[in-house]
Amino acid sequence: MAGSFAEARTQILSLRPEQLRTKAEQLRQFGIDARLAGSQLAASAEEVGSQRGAPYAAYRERVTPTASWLRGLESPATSTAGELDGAAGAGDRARMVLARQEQVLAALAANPATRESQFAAAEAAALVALNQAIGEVTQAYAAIAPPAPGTAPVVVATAGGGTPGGAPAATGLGGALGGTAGRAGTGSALEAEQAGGSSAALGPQSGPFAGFIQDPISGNLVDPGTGREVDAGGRFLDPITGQPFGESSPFATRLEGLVGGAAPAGLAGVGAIGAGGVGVPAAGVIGPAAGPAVPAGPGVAGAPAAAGGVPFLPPAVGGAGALGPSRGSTARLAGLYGGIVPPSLAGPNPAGSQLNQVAAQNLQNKAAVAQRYAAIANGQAPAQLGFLPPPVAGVGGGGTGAARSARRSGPRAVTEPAGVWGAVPGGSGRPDRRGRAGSSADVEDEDVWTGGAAVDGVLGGR
Amino acid sequence: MGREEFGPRDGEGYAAFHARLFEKAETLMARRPEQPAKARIDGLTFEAAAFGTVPGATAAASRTAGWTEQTQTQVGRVGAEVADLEVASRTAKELATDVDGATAAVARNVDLGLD
Repeated sequence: MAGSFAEARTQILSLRPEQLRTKAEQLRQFGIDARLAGSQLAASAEEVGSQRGAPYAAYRERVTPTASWLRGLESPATSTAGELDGAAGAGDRARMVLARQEQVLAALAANPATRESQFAAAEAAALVALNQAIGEVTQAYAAIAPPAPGTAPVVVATAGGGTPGGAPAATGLGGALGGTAGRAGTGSALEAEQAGGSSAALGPQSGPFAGFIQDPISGNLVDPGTGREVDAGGRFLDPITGQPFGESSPFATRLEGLVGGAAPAGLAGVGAIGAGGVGVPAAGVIGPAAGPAVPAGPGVAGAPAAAGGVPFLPPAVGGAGALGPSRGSTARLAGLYGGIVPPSLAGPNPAGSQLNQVAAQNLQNKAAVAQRYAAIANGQAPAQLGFLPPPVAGVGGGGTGAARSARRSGPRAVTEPAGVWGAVPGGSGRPDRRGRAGSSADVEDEDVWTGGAAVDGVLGGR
Repeated sequence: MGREEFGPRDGEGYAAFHARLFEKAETLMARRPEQPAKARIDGLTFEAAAFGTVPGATAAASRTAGWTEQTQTQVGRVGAEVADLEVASRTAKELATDVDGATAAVARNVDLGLD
Protein backbone atom coordinates (compact mmCIF):
# COMPACT_ATOMS: atom_id res chain seq x y z
CA MET A 1 0.00 0.00 0.00
CA ALA A 2 1.40 3.33 -1.00
CA GLY A 3 1.92 5.78 1.80
CA SER A 4 1.57 8.94 -0.20
CA PHE A 5 -0.17 10.19 -3.28
CA ALA A 6 3.15 10.59 -5.04
CA GLU A 7 4.16 7.04 -4.25
CA ALA A 8 0.86 5.64 -5.40
CA ARG A 9 1.07 7.70 -8.53
CA THR A 10 4.52 6.40 -9.26
CA GLN A 11 3.34 2.85 -8.86
CA ILE A 12 0.45 3.36 -11.22
CA LEU A 13 2.63 5.11 -13.77
CA SER A 14 4.92 2.08 -13.70
CA LEU A 15 2.16 -0.18 -14.97
CA ARG A 16 2.39 -1.39 -18.55
CA PRO A 17 -0.97 -2.92 -19.36
CA GLU A 18 -0.33 -2.71 -23.07
CA GLN A 19 2.72 -4.92 -22.66
CA LEU A 20 0.74 -7.42 -20.66
CA ARG A 21 -1.83 -7.57 -23.43
CA THR A 22 0.88 -8.18 -25.96
CA LYS A 23 2.22 -11.02 -23.84
CA ALA A 24 -1.24 -12.39 -23.47
CA GLU A 25 -1.75 -12.45 -27.20
CA GLN A 26 1.60 -14.13 -27.70
CA LEU A 27 0.63 -16.74 -25.16
CA ARG A 28 -2.64 -17.40 -26.92
CA GLN A 29 -0.88 -17.79 -30.21
CA PHE A 30 1.58 -20.15 -28.61
CA GLY A 31 -1.27 -22.23 -27.28
CA ILE A 32 -2.83 -22.39 -30.71
CA ASP A 33 0.45 -23.32 -32.34
CA ALA A 34 1.07 -26.02 -29.75
CA ARG A 35 -2.37 -27.47 -30.29
CA LEU A 36 -1.94 -27.50 -34.05
CA ALA A 37 1.42 -29.20 -33.73
CA GLY A 38 -0.02 -31.78 -31.38
CA SER A 39 -2.93 -32.42 -33.68
CA GLN A 40 -0.65 -33.03 -36.64
CA LEU A 41 1.43 -35.47 -34.68
CA ALA A 42 -1.63 -37.20 -33.31
CA ALA A 43 -3.10 -37.60 -36.76
CA SER A 44 0.12 -39.12 -38.00
CA ALA A 45 0.30 -41.44 -35.03
CA GLU A 46 -3.23 -42.60 -35.69
CA GLU A 47 -2.68 -43.12 -39.36
CA VAL A 48 0.52 -45.08 -38.97
CA GLY A 49 -0.55 -46.83 -35.82
CA SER A 50 -3.68 -48.20 -37.39
CA GLN A 51 -1.59 -50.62 -39.42
CA ARG A 52 -0.88 -54.05 -38.11
CA GLY A 53 2.57 -54.73 -36.92
CA ALA A 54 5.07 -53.80 -34.29
CA PRO A 55 6.73 -50.91 -36.15
CA TYR A 56 3.44 -49.09 -36.54
CA ALA A 57 2.43 -49.69 -32.96
CA ALA A 58 5.81 -48.47 -31.84
CA TYR A 59 5.39 -45.32 -33.85
CA ARG A 60 2.02 -44.62 -32.30
CA GLU A 61 3.26 -45.47 -28.86
CA ARG A 62 6.04 -42.98 -29.18
CA VAL A 63 4.30 -40.12 -30.93
CA THR A 64 0.94 -40.06 -29.18
CA PRO A 65 2.10 -38.92 -25.73
CA THR A 66 4.14 -36.13 -27.22
CA ALA A 67 1.18 -35.03 -29.31
CA SER A 68 -1.07 -35.00 -26.27
CA TRP A 69 1.42 -33.04 -24.26
CA LEU A 70 1.66 -30.41 -26.96
CA ARG A 71 -2.07 -30.09 -27.22
CA GLY A 72 -2.30 -29.82 -23.48
CA LEU A 73 -0.30 -26.64 -23.51
CA GLU A 74 -3.13 -24.65 -24.97
CA SER A 75 -5.25 -24.63 -21.87
CA PRO A 76 -2.72 -23.16 -19.44
CA ALA A 77 -1.50 -20.77 -22.09
CA THR A 78 -5.00 -19.52 -22.74
CA SER A 79 -5.93 -19.24 -19.10
CA THR A 80 -2.73 -17.41 -18.31
CA ALA A 81 -3.38 -15.07 -21.19
CA GLY A 82 -6.78 -14.34 -19.73
CA GLU A 83 -5.22 -13.60 -16.38
CA LEU A 84 -2.75 -11.25 -18.03
CA ASP A 85 -5.58 -9.50 -19.78
CA GLY A 86 -7.34 -9.18 -16.48
CA ALA A 87 -4.29 -7.61 -14.94
CA ALA A 88 -4.01 -5.27 -17.90
CA GLY A 89 -7.59 -4.20 -17.40
CA ALA A 90 -6.93 -3.54 -13.75
CA GLY A 91 -3.95 -1.48 -14.78
CA ASP A 92 -6.04 0.54 -17.20
CA ARG A 93 -8.61 1.19 -14.54
CA ALA A 94 -5.91 2.26 -12.11
CA ARG A 95 -4.68 4.71 -14.69
CA MET A 96 -8.14 6.13 -15.09
CA VAL A 97 -8.56 6.42 -11.34
CA LEU A 98 -5.30 8.29 -11.25
CA ALA A 99 -6.42 10.59 -14.04
CA ARG A 100 -9.64 11.35 -12.24
CA GLN A 101 -7.96 11.99 -8.94
CA GLU A 102 -5.38 14.19 -10.55
CA GLN A 103 -8.12 16.19 -12.16
CA VAL A 104 -9.90 16.61 -8.85
CA LEU A 105 -6.74 17.81 -7.18
CA ALA A 106 -5.83 20.03 -10.06
CA ALA A 107 -9.21 21.69 -9.92
CA LEU A 108 -8.82 22.22 -6.24
CA ALA A 109 -5.37 23.62 -6.64
CA ALA A 110 -6.58 25.99 -9.29
CA ASN A 111 -9.35 27.29 -7.13
CA PRO A 112 -8.21 30.34 -5.19
CA ALA A 113 -10.67 29.57 -2.45
CA THR A 114 -9.16 26.20 -1.66
CA ARG A 115 -7.72 25.94 1.78
CA GLU A 116 -4.75 23.86 2.60
CA SER A 117 -6.80 21.62 4.82
CA GLN A 118 -9.25 21.04 1.99
CA PHE A 119 -6.50 20.11 -0.35
CA ALA A 120 -4.92 17.80 2.20
CA ALA A 121 -8.22 16.06 2.76
CA ALA A 122 -8.73 15.69 -0.97
CA GLU A 123 -5.25 14.33 -1.36
CA ALA A 124 -5.88 11.80 1.37
CA ALA A 125 -9.09 10.74 -0.28
CA ALA A 126 -7.29 10.44 -3.57
CA LEU A 127 -4.68 8.24 -1.96
CA VAL A 128 -7.39 5.92 -0.71
CA ALA A 129 -8.79 5.64 -4.21
CA LEU A 130 -5.38 5.04 -5.71
CA ASN A 131 -4.51 2.40 -3.15
CA GLN A 132 -7.75 0.64 -3.87
CA ALA A 133 -6.97 0.65 -7.56
CA ILE A 134 -3.47 -0.61 -6.88
CA GLY A 135 -4.92 -3.31 -4.70
CA GLU A 136 -7.01 -4.50 -7.58
CA VAL A 137 -3.96 -4.71 -9.76
CA THR A 138 -2.14 -6.65 -7.07
CA GLN A 139 -5.07 -9.00 -6.80
CA ALA A 140 -5.07 -9.50 -10.54
CA TYR A 141 -1.37 -10.24 -10.44
CA ALA A 142 -1.89 -12.82 -7.73
CA ALA A 143 -4.22 -14.68 -10.06
CA ILE A 144 -1.47 -15.14 -12.61
CA ALA A 145 -0.21 -18.56 -11.68
CA PRO A 146 0.37 -20.78 -14.68
CA PRO A 147 0.74 -24.44 -13.77
CA ALA A 148 4.05 -26.09 -14.46
CA PRO A 149 4.11 -27.52 -17.96
CA GLY A 150 5.39 -30.86 -16.80
CA THR A 151 8.02 -32.93 -18.50
CA ALA A 152 7.46 -33.51 -22.15
CA PRO A 153 7.12 -37.27 -22.79
CA VAL A 154 9.90 -37.79 -25.26
CA VAL A 155 12.29 -40.62 -25.92
CA VAL A 156 15.26 -38.63 -26.99
CA ALA A 157 17.24 -37.89 -23.89
CA THR A 158 18.12 -34.34 -24.63
CA ALA A 159 17.07 -31.07 -23.27
CA GLY A 160 16.37 -28.49 -25.82
CA GLY A 161 18.33 -29.96 -28.64
CA GLY A 162 18.93 -33.05 -30.60
CA THR A 163 21.81 -35.36 -30.20
CA PRO A 164 23.80 -35.73 -33.35
CA GLY A 165 24.14 -39.36 -34.04
CA GLY A 166 21.90 -39.85 -31.08
CA ALA A 167 21.68 -42.88 -28.93
CA PRO A 168 19.25 -45.55 -29.89
CA ALA A 169 15.92 -45.03 -28.29
CA ALA A 170 15.13 -47.35 -25.50
CA THR A 171 11.65 -47.97 -26.70
CA GLY A 172 9.46 -47.23 -29.59
CA LEU A 173 10.05 -46.98 -33.23
CA GLY A 174 13.75 -46.40 -33.06
CA GLY A 175 14.26 -49.53 -31.10
CA ALA A 176 11.98 -51.53 -33.26
CA LEU A 177 13.77 -50.50 -36.37
CA GLY A 178 17.25 -50.71 -35.15
CA GLY A 179 18.42 -47.37 -34.04
CA THR A 180 18.01 -43.75 -34.52
CA ALA A 181 20.09 -40.93 -35.58
CA GLY A 182 19.24 -37.74 -33.91
CA ARG A 183 19.48 -34.37 -35.40
CA ALA A 184 19.83 -31.19 -33.64
CA GLY A 185 16.60 -29.37 -33.23
CA THR A 186 16.72 -26.50 -35.56
CA GLY A 187 15.15 -23.53 -34.00
CA SER A 188 13.99 -21.28 -36.71
CA ALA A 189 14.50 -17.61 -36.48
CA LEU A 190 12.22 -16.17 -33.93
CA GLU A 191 9.47 -14.03 -35.07
CA ALA A 192 10.11 -10.62 -33.84
CA GLU A 193 7.11 -10.05 -31.73
CA GLN A 194 8.13 -7.67 -29.12
CA ALA A 195 6.19 -6.59 -26.20
CA GLY A 196 6.39 -3.08 -27.35
CA GLY A 197 6.07 -0.45 -24.75
CA SER A 198 4.73 1.51 -27.61
CA SER A 199 1.60 3.40 -27.24
CA ALA A 200 -1.51 1.40 -27.41
CA ALA A 201 -4.71 2.46 -28.99
CA LEU A 202 -6.93 3.91 -26.34
CA GLY A 203 -10.06 3.90 -28.39
CA PRO A 204 -11.38 3.47 -31.89
CA GLN A 205 -8.88 4.22 -34.57
CA SER A 206 -11.43 4.53 -37.27
CA GLY A 207 -15.07 5.17 -37.65
CA PRO A 208 -17.19 7.98 -36.35
CA PHE A 209 -15.58 7.96 -32.94
CA ALA A 210 -11.99 7.79 -34.01
CA GLY A 211 -9.90 9.69 -31.54
CA PHE A 212 -12.27 9.08 -28.69
CA ILE A 213 -10.77 7.42 -25.66
CA GLN A 214 -12.37 4.45 -24.01
CA ASP A 215 -12.89 4.81 -20.32
CA PRO A 216 -11.62 1.49 -18.96
CA ILE A 217 -13.98 1.72 -16.03
CA SER A 218 -17.26 2.56 -17.69
CA GLY A 219 -16.43 1.32 -21.16
CA ASN A 220 -17.78 4.53 -22.63
CA LEU A 221 -15.96 6.54 -25.23
CA VAL A 222 -14.95 10.05 -24.33
CA ASP A 223 -13.90 12.75 -26.73
CA PRO A 224 -10.76 14.24 -25.21
CA GLY A 225 -11.34 17.40 -27.15
CA THR A 226 -14.84 18.19 -25.99
CA GLY A 227 -15.69 15.84 -23.18
CA ARG A 228 -18.59 14.32 -25.06
CA GLU A 229 -19.28 10.80 -23.96
CA VAL A 230 -20.72 7.95 -25.95
CA ASP A 231 -22.04 4.72 -24.54
CA ALA A 232 -21.58 1.26 -25.96
CA GLY A 233 -24.64 1.69 -28.10
CA GLY A 234 -23.21 4.71 -29.84
CA ARG A 235 -25.47 7.20 -28.10
CA PHE A 236 -24.22 10.37 -26.59
CA LEU A 237 -24.65 10.80 -22.89
CA ASP A 238 -26.29 13.80 -21.39
CA PRO A 239 -23.55 15.91 -19.81
CA ILE A 240 -25.64 16.42 -16.69
CA THR A 241 -27.56 13.22 -16.13
CA GLY A 242 -25.10 10.89 -17.80
CA GLN A 243 -27.98 9.15 -19.50
CA PRO A 244 -27.92 8.33 -23.19
CA PHE A 245 -30.12 10.44 -25.34
CA GLY A 246 -31.20 10.66 -28.87
CA GLU A 247 -34.34 10.73 -30.84
CA SER A 248 -35.73 7.71 -29.14
CA SER A 249 -34.16 8.20 -25.77
CA PRO A 250 -36.52 7.05 -23.05
CA PHE A 251 -34.73 9.21 -20.59
CA ALA A 252 -35.92 12.39 -22.15
CA THR A 253 -39.44 12.10 -20.85
CA ARG A 254 -38.40 10.97 -17.42
CA LEU A 255 -36.65 14.14 -16.56
CA GLU A 256 -38.99 16.43 -14.78
CA GLY A 257 -39.65 19.63 -16.57
CA LEU A 258 -37.41 18.73 -19.42
CA VAL A 259 -38.17 18.20 -23.02
CA GLY A 260 -35.60 15.86 -24.34
CA GLY A 261 -34.02 15.42 -27.64
CA ALA A 262 -35.53 18.39 -29.36
CA ALA A 263 -33.35 20.06 -31.89
CA PRO A 264 -33.69 23.79 -31.72
CA ALA A 265 -34.72 25.20 -35.00
CA GLY A 266 -31.89 26.42 -37.08
CA LEU A 267 -29.21 24.85 -34.98
CA ALA A 268 -28.81 21.61 -36.75
CA GLY A 269 -26.53 23.06 -39.29
CA VAL A 270 -24.57 25.30 -37.03
CA GLY A 271 -20.94 24.90 -37.63
CA ALA A 272 -18.00 26.91 -36.63
CA ILE A 273 -18.99 30.23 -35.29
CA GLY A 274 -15.98 31.27 -33.37
CA ALA A 275 -12.74 32.36 -34.80
CA GLY A 276 -10.43 29.55 -35.62
CA GLY A 277 -6.85 29.03 -34.95
CA VAL A 278 -6.40 28.66 -31.25
CA GLY A 279 -8.30 25.57 -30.48
CA VAL A 280 -6.91 22.38 -29.14
CA PRO A 281 -6.32 19.61 -31.59
CA ALA A 282 -8.71 17.02 -30.37
CA ALA A 283 -6.43 14.10 -30.34
CA GLY A 284 -3.18 15.03 -31.90
CA VAL A 285 -1.70 15.63 -28.53
CA ILE A 286 -3.65 12.96 -26.83
CA GLY A 287 -2.85 9.64 -28.29
CA PRO A 288 -1.99 7.63 -31.27
CA ALA A 289 -5.55 6.80 -31.98
CA ALA A 290 -6.20 10.31 -32.91
CA GLY A 291 -8.79 10.86 -35.44
CA PRO A 292 -8.64 13.54 -38.01
CA ALA A 293 -9.18 16.29 -35.57
CA VAL A 294 -9.56 19.74 -36.88
CA PRO A 295 -8.16 22.63 -34.97
CA ALA A 296 -11.02 24.79 -34.10
CA GLY A 297 -11.61 28.14 -32.70
CA PRO A 298 -11.83 29.12 -29.12
CA GLY A 299 -14.90 27.07 -28.83
CA VAL A 300 -15.13 23.36 -29.23
CA ALA A 301 -12.36 21.55 -30.92
CA GLY A 302 -11.87 18.11 -32.14
CA ALA A 303 -15.15 16.77 -33.33
CA PRO A 304 -14.22 13.97 -35.67
CA ALA A 305 -13.96 15.00 -39.23
CA ALA A 306 -15.85 11.87 -40.07
CA ALA A 307 -18.76 13.43 -38.39
CA GLY A 308 -21.10 12.32 -41.04
CA GLY A 309 -20.91 8.92 -39.48
CA VAL A 310 -21.65 10.12 -35.99
CA PRO A 311 -25.23 9.57 -35.01
CA PHE A 312 -27.30 12.66 -35.59
CA LEU A 313 -24.23 14.78 -36.10
CA PRO A 314 -24.49 16.76 -39.31
CA PRO A 315 -21.40 16.95 -41.42
CA ALA A 316 -21.38 20.70 -41.11
CA VAL A 317 -20.71 20.42 -37.44
CA GLY A 318 -18.18 17.68 -37.44
CA GLY A 319 -14.61 18.69 -37.52
CA ALA A 320 -15.16 22.28 -36.71
CA GLY A 321 -17.27 22.61 -33.75
CA ALA A 322 -16.28 26.01 -32.60
CA LEU A 323 -19.41 27.51 -31.35
CA GLY A 324 -18.49 30.84 -30.11
CA PRO A 325 -17.62 32.39 -26.84
CA SER A 326 -20.90 31.92 -25.07
CA ARG A 327 -19.63 29.47 -22.59
CA GLY A 328 -22.19 26.99 -21.46
CA SER A 329 -24.86 28.26 -23.75
CA THR A 330 -27.48 25.81 -24.85
CA ALA A 331 -26.76 26.56 -28.46
CA ARG A 332 -23.10 25.85 -28.07
CA LEU A 333 -23.76 22.63 -26.23
CA ALA A 334 -26.31 21.60 -28.80
CA GLY A 335 -23.65 22.14 -31.41
CA LEU A 336 -21.62 19.46 -29.78
CA TYR A 337 -24.40 17.01 -30.32
CA GLY A 338 -25.30 17.78 -33.86
CA GLY A 339 -27.74 20.44 -32.90
CA ILE A 340 -29.67 18.28 -30.50
CA VAL A 341 -29.99 19.72 -27.06
CA PRO A 342 -29.31 17.20 -24.32
CA PRO A 343 -32.54 16.41 -22.49
CA SER A 344 -31.47 17.97 -19.25
CA LEU A 345 -30.95 21.28 -20.98
CA ALA A 346 -33.87 21.31 -23.34
CA GLY A 347 -36.96 23.36 -22.77
CA PRO A 348 -37.55 26.35 -20.57
CA ASN A 349 -36.02 26.06 -17.19
CA PRO A 350 -35.45 28.78 -14.61
CA ALA A 351 -32.17 27.14 -13.75
CA GLY A 352 -31.16 26.82 -17.35
CA SER A 353 -28.19 29.07 -17.02
CA GLN A 354 -26.82 27.15 -14.10
CA LEU A 355 -27.48 23.86 -15.84
CA ASN A 356 -25.56 25.07 -18.83
CA GLN A 357 -22.67 25.99 -16.60
CA VAL A 358 -22.77 22.60 -14.94
CA ALA A 359 -22.89 20.87 -18.28
CA ALA A 360 -19.96 22.88 -19.53
CA GLN A 361 -18.01 22.12 -16.40
CA ASN A 362 -18.81 18.44 -16.64
CA LEU A 363 -17.70 18.35 -20.24
CA GLN A 364 -14.56 20.18 -19.34
CA ASN A 365 -13.82 17.71 -16.60
CA LYS A 366 -14.52 14.77 -18.86
CA ALA A 367 -12.19 16.14 -21.47
CA ALA A 368 -9.49 16.91 -18.94
CA VAL A 369 -9.71 13.45 -17.40
CA ALA A 370 -9.55 11.86 -20.83
CA GLN A 371 -6.51 13.93 -21.67
CA ARG A 372 -4.83 12.99 -18.42
CA TYR A 373 -5.64 9.35 -18.96
CA ALA A 374 -4.23 9.46 -22.45
CA ALA A 375 -1.10 11.14 -21.22
CA ILE A 376 -0.67 8.50 -18.54
CA ALA A 377 -1.34 5.64 -20.91
CA ASN A 378 1.03 7.01 -23.51
CA GLY A 379 3.79 7.56 -21.03
CA GLN A 380 3.57 11.30 -21.40
CA ALA A 381 2.66 12.04 -17.85
CA PRO A 382 5.41 13.83 -15.99
CA ALA A 383 7.31 11.57 -13.67
CA GLN A 384 6.65 13.84 -10.77
CA LEU A 385 3.43 15.66 -10.73
CA GLY A 386 2.77 18.03 -7.94
CA PHE A 387 -0.27 20.14 -8.06
CA LEU A 388 0.12 23.80 -8.04
CA PRO A 389 -0.79 25.38 -4.79
CA PRO A 390 -3.69 27.74 -4.65
CA PRO A 391 -3.05 30.95 -6.53
CA VAL A 392 -1.99 32.92 -3.53
CA ALA A 393 1.32 31.21 -3.75
CA GLY A 394 2.08 33.24 -6.78
CA VAL A 395 1.84 36.54 -5.01
CA GLY A 396 5.30 37.89 -4.94
CA GLY A 397 6.67 34.50 -5.57
CA GLY A 398 7.39 34.88 -9.22
CA GLY A 399 7.86 31.85 -11.40
CA THR A 400 4.88 29.79 -12.18
CA GLY A 401 2.77 31.37 -9.52
CA ALA A 402 3.21 34.70 -11.13
CA ALA A 403 2.55 33.28 -14.50
CA ARG A 404 -0.75 31.93 -13.43
CA SER A 405 -1.50 35.05 -11.54
CA ALA A 406 -1.19 36.93 -14.75
CA ARG A 407 -3.64 34.65 -16.43
CA ARG A 408 -6.19 34.69 -13.74
CA SER A 409 -8.41 37.59 -13.13
CA GLY A 410 -10.48 38.70 -10.22
CA PRO A 411 -9.66 39.09 -6.59
CA ARG A 412 -8.14 36.30 -4.65
CA ALA A 413 -10.21 34.72 -2.00
CA VAL A 414 -7.24 33.50 -0.10
CA THR A 415 -4.85 35.96 1.36
CA GLU A 416 -2.38 33.90 3.27
CA PRO A 417 1.25 34.73 2.89
CA ALA A 418 2.85 33.08 -0.03
CA GLY A 419 4.95 30.96 2.22
CA VAL A 420 1.89 29.07 3.34
CA TRP A 421 1.90 27.09 0.14
CA GLY A 422 5.56 26.70 0.01
CA ALA A 423 5.95 28.21 -3.41
CA VAL A 424 8.42 30.78 -2.25
CA PRO A 425 11.89 29.39 -1.88
CA GLY A 426 12.85 29.36 1.71
CA GLY A 427 9.32 29.95 2.81
CA SER A 428 8.04 28.26 5.84
CA GLY A 429 4.95 26.21 6.23
CA ARG A 430 3.68 23.62 3.89
CA PRO A 431 6.20 22.30 1.43
CA ASP A 432 5.71 23.01 -2.19
CA ARG A 433 3.74 20.08 -3.54
CA ARG A 434 5.26 20.54 -6.92
CA GLY A 435 8.72 19.77 -5.71
CA ARG A 436 10.20 20.95 -8.95
CA ALA A 437 9.88 24.67 -9.03
CA GLY A 438 11.89 26.25 -11.74
CA SER A 439 12.06 23.19 -13.89
CA SER A 440 11.12 23.33 -17.48
CA ALA A 441 8.32 20.94 -16.78
CA ASP A 442 6.55 23.65 -14.89
CA VAL A 443 5.58 25.26 -18.11
CA GLU A 444 3.92 22.11 -19.28
CA ASP A 445 2.30 21.73 -15.92
CA GLU A 446 0.76 25.13 -16.22
CA ASP A 447 -0.68 24.51 -19.59
CA VAL A 448 -1.68 20.94 -19.38
CA TRP A 449 -2.50 20.08 -15.85
CA THR A 450 -4.05 23.00 -14.16
CA GLY A 451 -7.17 23.61 -16.10
CA GLY A 452 -5.44 26.38 -17.88
CA ALA A 453 -5.05 27.03 -21.52
CA ALA A 454 -5.60 23.54 -22.77
CA VAL A 455 -8.95 23.10 -21.20
CA ASP A 456 -9.96 26.66 -21.75
CA GLY A 457 -9.29 26.26 -25.38
CA VAL A 458 -11.45 23.24 -25.51
CA LEU A 459 -14.51 24.90 -24.29
CA GLY A 460 -13.70 28.39 -25.22
CA GLY A 461 -15.04 29.92 -22.14
CA ARG A 462 -12.29 32.22 -21.24
CA MET B 1 -6.59 -73.11 -52.43
CA GLY B 2 -3.45 -71.94 -54.04
CA ARG B 3 -1.45 -69.37 -52.17
CA GLU B 4 -0.29 -67.91 -55.46
CA GLU B 5 -3.84 -67.01 -56.22
CA PHE B 6 -4.41 -64.92 -53.14
CA GLY B 7 -0.95 -64.17 -51.92
CA PRO B 8 0.04 -63.52 -48.36
CA ARG B 9 -2.30 -61.48 -46.27
CA ASP B 10 -1.56 -59.14 -43.46
CA GLY B 11 -2.06 -60.85 -40.15
CA GLU B 12 -1.39 -64.28 -41.42
CA GLY B 13 2.17 -64.40 -40.29
CA TYR B 14 3.01 -61.46 -42.44
CA ALA B 15 3.23 -57.77 -41.63
CA ALA B 16 3.15 -55.48 -44.57
CA PHE B 17 5.77 -52.78 -44.76
CA HIS B 18 4.07 -49.62 -45.90
CA ALA B 19 6.89 -47.50 -47.11
CA ARG B 20 4.50 -44.79 -48.16
CA LEU B 21 3.17 -44.34 -44.65
CA PHE B 22 6.62 -43.95 -43.23
CA GLU B 23 7.44 -41.53 -45.96
CA LYS B 24 4.45 -39.44 -44.95
CA ALA B 25 5.58 -39.54 -41.37
CA GLU B 26 9.05 -38.52 -42.38
CA THR B 27 7.70 -35.65 -44.39
CA LEU B 28 5.62 -34.47 -41.48
CA MET B 29 8.51 -34.61 -39.06
CA ALA B 30 10.77 -32.86 -41.55
CA ARG B 31 8.32 -29.97 -41.56
CA ARG B 32 8.89 -29.62 -37.82
CA PRO B 33 5.30 -29.11 -36.80
CA GLU B 34 6.36 -27.97 -33.34
CA GLN B 35 8.49 -25.15 -34.69
CA PRO B 36 5.83 -22.42 -34.78
CA ALA B 37 5.05 -23.09 -31.15
CA LYS B 38 8.71 -23.26 -30.30
CA ALA B 39 9.46 -20.01 -32.02
CA ARG B 40 6.53 -18.41 -30.27
CA ILE B 41 7.51 -19.52 -26.79
CA ASP B 42 11.17 -18.82 -27.37
CA GLY B 43 10.27 -15.26 -28.29
CA LEU B 44 8.22 -14.78 -25.18
CA THR B 45 9.84 -13.10 -22.25
CA PHE B 46 8.34 -11.65 -19.14
CA GLU B 47 10.38 -8.76 -17.94
CA ALA B 48 9.60 -7.51 -14.50
CA ALA B 49 9.12 -4.03 -15.92
CA ALA B 50 6.00 -5.16 -17.73
CA PHE B 51 4.32 -5.58 -14.37
CA GLY B 52 5.40 -2.30 -12.87
CA THR B 53 6.28 -1.73 -9.26
CA VAL B 54 2.98 -2.32 -7.54
CA PRO B 55 2.92 -4.94 -4.80
CA GLY B 56 2.85 -8.42 -6.24
CA ALA B 57 4.40 -7.40 -9.52
CA THR B 58 7.74 -9.05 -8.95
CA ALA B 59 6.17 -12.31 -7.88
CA ALA B 60 3.84 -12.36 -10.87
CA ALA B 61 6.71 -11.63 -13.21
CA SER B 62 8.73 -14.41 -11.61
CA ARG B 63 5.93 -16.94 -11.97
CA THR B 64 5.28 -16.18 -15.58
CA ALA B 65 8.94 -16.06 -16.42
CA GLY B 66 9.47 -19.38 -14.70
CA TRP B 67 6.63 -21.00 -16.55
CA THR B 68 7.92 -19.63 -19.81
CA GLU B 69 11.42 -20.94 -19.24
CA GLN B 70 10.16 -24.37 -18.30
CA THR B 71 7.94 -24.50 -21.32
CA GLN B 72 10.76 -23.37 -23.57
CA THR B 73 12.91 -26.19 -22.27
CA GLN B 74 10.24 -28.81 -22.72
CA VAL B 75 9.23 -27.65 -26.16
CA GLY B 76 12.89 -27.76 -27.07
CA ARG B 77 12.93 -31.41 -26.03
CA VAL B 78 9.93 -32.01 -28.24
CA GLY B 79 11.88 -30.45 -31.08
CA ALA B 80 14.65 -32.95 -30.56
CA GLU B 81 12.11 -35.72 -30.43
CA VAL B 82 10.56 -34.69 -33.70
CA ALA B 83 13.97 -34.50 -35.30
CA ASP B 84 14.69 -37.98 -34.11
CA LEU B 85 11.35 -39.20 -35.36
CA GLU B 86 12.18 -37.85 -38.77
CA VAL B 87 15.30 -39.96 -38.88
CA ALA B 88 13.51 -42.99 -37.53
CA SER B 89 10.72 -42.64 -40.04
CA ARG B 90 13.20 -42.37 -42.86
CA THR B 91 14.95 -45.46 -41.63
CA ALA B 92 11.65 -47.28 -41.43
CA LYS B 93 10.75 -46.16 -44.91
CA GLU B 94 14.03 -47.44 -46.29
CA LEU B 95 13.68 -50.72 -44.48
CA ALA B 96 10.17 -51.14 -45.72
CA THR B 97 11.22 -50.47 -49.26
CA ASP B 98 14.06 -52.92 -49.05
CA VAL B 99 12.48 -55.78 -47.27
CA ASP B 100 8.88 -55.70 -48.31
CA GLY B 101 9.48 -57.63 -51.49
CA ALA B 102 11.64 -60.17 -49.76
CA THR B 103 9.23 -60.55 -46.91
CA ALA B 104 6.35 -61.06 -49.28
CA ALA B 105 8.27 -63.68 -51.17
CA VAL B 106 9.09 -65.54 -48.00
CA ALA B 107 5.54 -65.35 -46.89
CA ARG B 108 4.33 -66.83 -50.13
CA ASN B 109 6.51 -69.85 -49.59
CA VAL B 110 5.58 -70.51 -46.03
CA ASP B 111 3.19 -73.29 -45.52
CA LEU B 112 0.61 -71.79 -43.34
CA GLY B 113 -1.38 -74.94 -43.22
CA LEU B 114 -4.30 -73.39 -44.93
CA ASP B 115 -4.80 -76.14 -47.45
